[in-house]
Amino acid sequence: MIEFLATYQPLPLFEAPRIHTNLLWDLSVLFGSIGLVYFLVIFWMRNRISRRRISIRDNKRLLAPMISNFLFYQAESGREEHEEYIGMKIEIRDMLKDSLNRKVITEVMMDLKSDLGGDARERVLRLYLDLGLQRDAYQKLESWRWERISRGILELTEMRVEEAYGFIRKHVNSRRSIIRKQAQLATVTLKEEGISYFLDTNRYPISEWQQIKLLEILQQRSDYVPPKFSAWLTSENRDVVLFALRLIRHYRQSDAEPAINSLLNHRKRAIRMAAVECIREFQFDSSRHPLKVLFSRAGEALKLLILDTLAHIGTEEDLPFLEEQAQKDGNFLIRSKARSVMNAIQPNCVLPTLDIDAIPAEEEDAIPFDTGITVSKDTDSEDAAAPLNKGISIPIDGLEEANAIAEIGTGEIMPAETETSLPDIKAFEPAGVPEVSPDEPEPSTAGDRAEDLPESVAPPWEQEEDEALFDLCFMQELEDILSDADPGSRKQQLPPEFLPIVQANTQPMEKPKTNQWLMGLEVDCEILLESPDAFSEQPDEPSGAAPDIPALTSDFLPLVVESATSGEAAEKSPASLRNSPVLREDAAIEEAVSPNFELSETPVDREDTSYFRQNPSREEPTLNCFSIFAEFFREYDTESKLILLDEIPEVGGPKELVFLRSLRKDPDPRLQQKAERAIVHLEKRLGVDAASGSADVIGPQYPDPTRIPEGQQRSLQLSFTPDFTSSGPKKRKAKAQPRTIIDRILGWSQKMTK
Amino acid sequence: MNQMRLLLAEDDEMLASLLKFRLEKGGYRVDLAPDGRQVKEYLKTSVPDVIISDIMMPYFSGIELVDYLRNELKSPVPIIIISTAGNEENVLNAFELGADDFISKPVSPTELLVRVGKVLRSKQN
Repeated sequence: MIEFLATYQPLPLFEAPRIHTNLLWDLSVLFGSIGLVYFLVIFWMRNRISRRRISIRDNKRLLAPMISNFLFYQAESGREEHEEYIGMKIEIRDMLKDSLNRKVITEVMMDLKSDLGGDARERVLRLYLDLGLQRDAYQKLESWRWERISRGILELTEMRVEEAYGFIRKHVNSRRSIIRKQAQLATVTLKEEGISYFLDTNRYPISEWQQIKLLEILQQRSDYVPPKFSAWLTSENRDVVLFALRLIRHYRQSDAEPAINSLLNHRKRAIRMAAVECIREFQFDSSRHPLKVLFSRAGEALKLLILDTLAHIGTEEDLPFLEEQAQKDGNFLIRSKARSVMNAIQPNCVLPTLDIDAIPAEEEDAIPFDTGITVSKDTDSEDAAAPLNKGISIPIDGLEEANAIAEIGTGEIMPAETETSLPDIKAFEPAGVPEVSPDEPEPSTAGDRAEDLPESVAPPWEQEEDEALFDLCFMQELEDILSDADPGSRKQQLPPEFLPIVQANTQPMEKPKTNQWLMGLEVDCEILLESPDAFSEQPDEPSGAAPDIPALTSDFLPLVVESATSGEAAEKSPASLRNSPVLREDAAIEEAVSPNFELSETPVDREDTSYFRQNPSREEPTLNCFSIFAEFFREYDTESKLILLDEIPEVGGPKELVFLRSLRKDPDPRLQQKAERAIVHLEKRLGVDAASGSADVIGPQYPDPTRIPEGQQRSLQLSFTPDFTSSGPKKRKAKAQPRTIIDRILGWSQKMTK
Repeated sequence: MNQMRLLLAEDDEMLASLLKFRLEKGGYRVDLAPDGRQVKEYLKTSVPDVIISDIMMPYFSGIELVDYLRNELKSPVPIIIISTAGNEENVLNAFELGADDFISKPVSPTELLVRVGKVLRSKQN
């Protein structure tokens, strides 16, 4: 066993290669030497650069006073100073024999040239030549290295060595772009004729940046007489032609009209644009036709430029062309520009049509001649013949066509009864423009988003401003009436958003009927534009006409507010109408919001309130009070109603109590139960006898007219005029009040809507 | 004759040397400071009659120098600011802080000499 173990030699899996030890030593010495040399070179280079920098700095410090002395030496100085100057001159000549010193002085000169101005700068340039430093720059031009050549060109250019012009200009068409560009700049800088030589001989493209630099150099020249750049419009180098066009425009050389007109058809787009810009600048009358020819195959930018040019040079003969573009071009930018150009050529030949509110004919008649646009019922009538500020008369005869156009734009059918409220859209179209037929819609492109915009006047029922104004009028009146009817809540401020609650029914009426009994009231009707769901009335209707109460809807409320003789109207209304649910509710609204006064006679003076007398029919108010929650309950779902029922006891009043009791008969048992609980809470809060449910307690509390101050009586005058400028104490106070029940209701409704 | 002392704060050595030469030739005694820190050190020991300072300097800019002089040292020493053309905002800031005059680069040594004389005359009046 021992023998076995002693003789056993396991085979190694890996075996190190056998390398001669001397080879290893040789390699170590080799790589060590390379590393040492590497580091030595680094240190040597570093020290050399440092030494050079130090040397240059020392040389600069030594040369600086000498250069300063040379620069500011004056011949009339004293003898001592003159001797010093002569000594320095000899010294610097010796120093210039050293190339490093020459290099240092050149650097110093270049720096000083950029830092100094005025006479000192000119002295630096002279000193550079006096010291003969330009010879080094010439030698650099002969170098094969592009950076040395470029530096030599730059040096000679900076130091304004005009003699170097001939040496430099041969590099204008160098294959190496940096040398070429440097030489181009130098050629133009050094001599006035440099630009001509450059434009004559240039074979390479001229970049935009290079053109800007060249133009900048030319601009810096004083007393520069530019050559006729039209000579280069025939160049075969496109960039030369383009640059020449720009120079022509810059120097306003308008003697190349035919050539510029020819360049309108150049293949290169930039040249076409530059040619159009020249035409616009010089206003060539002969270019109108070529421009119109070019227009059809131009892009958007060029079309806009052409139109802009036509705005300057166009005449009335170009109007048909512009009208055609204003109607048929697929790009809305071009159409808009064409219209503006038409107006530039012939002022006011095109008027705005897009997003313009239609003005109802009634209001137009009511406002004599302030707006400049009037609606005449007959083109032969006196109104049509009357002089207007802007001379636009809109005959109603064309309204059917206007309706048709509006239908195309909106996709809606306009009710027949609103015909008279729309102006003739054709009157807003450009003069001489062919009529837009409904069968010929405007061409549209898929990428043109503005194509979908209708260009006709928007129908009145779509105009939100009217509704907002209507809301405002209504809320002002309602606020006044409610505050008078219920002194406890006089400070309530009704938000305009309240209106949708009573304006839920937006279905257009088939035919708006007038309430003649309301027409007896004197109201201020302003700006309330007609809408199909709003009340339409002739303001001059005689008050004595037979009263005929139509089926009132909730959106009719603002005019009901004006009513002071509801009892009389109720007597004359058909019984069937009175029994309809809508009318019952409106009657309740009418009862609730009507003041406890009526007009005893036609008011003559607003300040005089003697014609108010107490309305005897209101001495015993009924229980048919309208709760604002009723509208919510009519619109909202059950969950919302339950949420409202939680809130009603906190904010409700007697009207809400009546309303809650009506909910006891609601088909939904959950609402019934919640209404019961709400009734209990509300009765507890109001201190009402739950068992009796007396109507006497919960009727609207009308003020005693004998106790109403004179100032408040005025507020009972009903007016639809929005009181934007009211500065009375009542209005200001109302605005300063905290949010009221209506606000809270509105907040809940918004929450529920979300 | 008692020479007026000027402090020229300019980091460009060559320009500073040239301006110094010109100002000395104009009859002033000129002290050079290549950066804002040395200007502050200088002002701790002596007060020149006029300070000519570049706006762009190491450590402290010319604007900071004006602020230091007017608001910390409460010194009424006239200051002429040198700045590159187009650096309008800096110049306005310097004037708001109390600089007395401004000259733009490239500097005309003759113009600088005239401005120094004008500032000194204003100070004496």
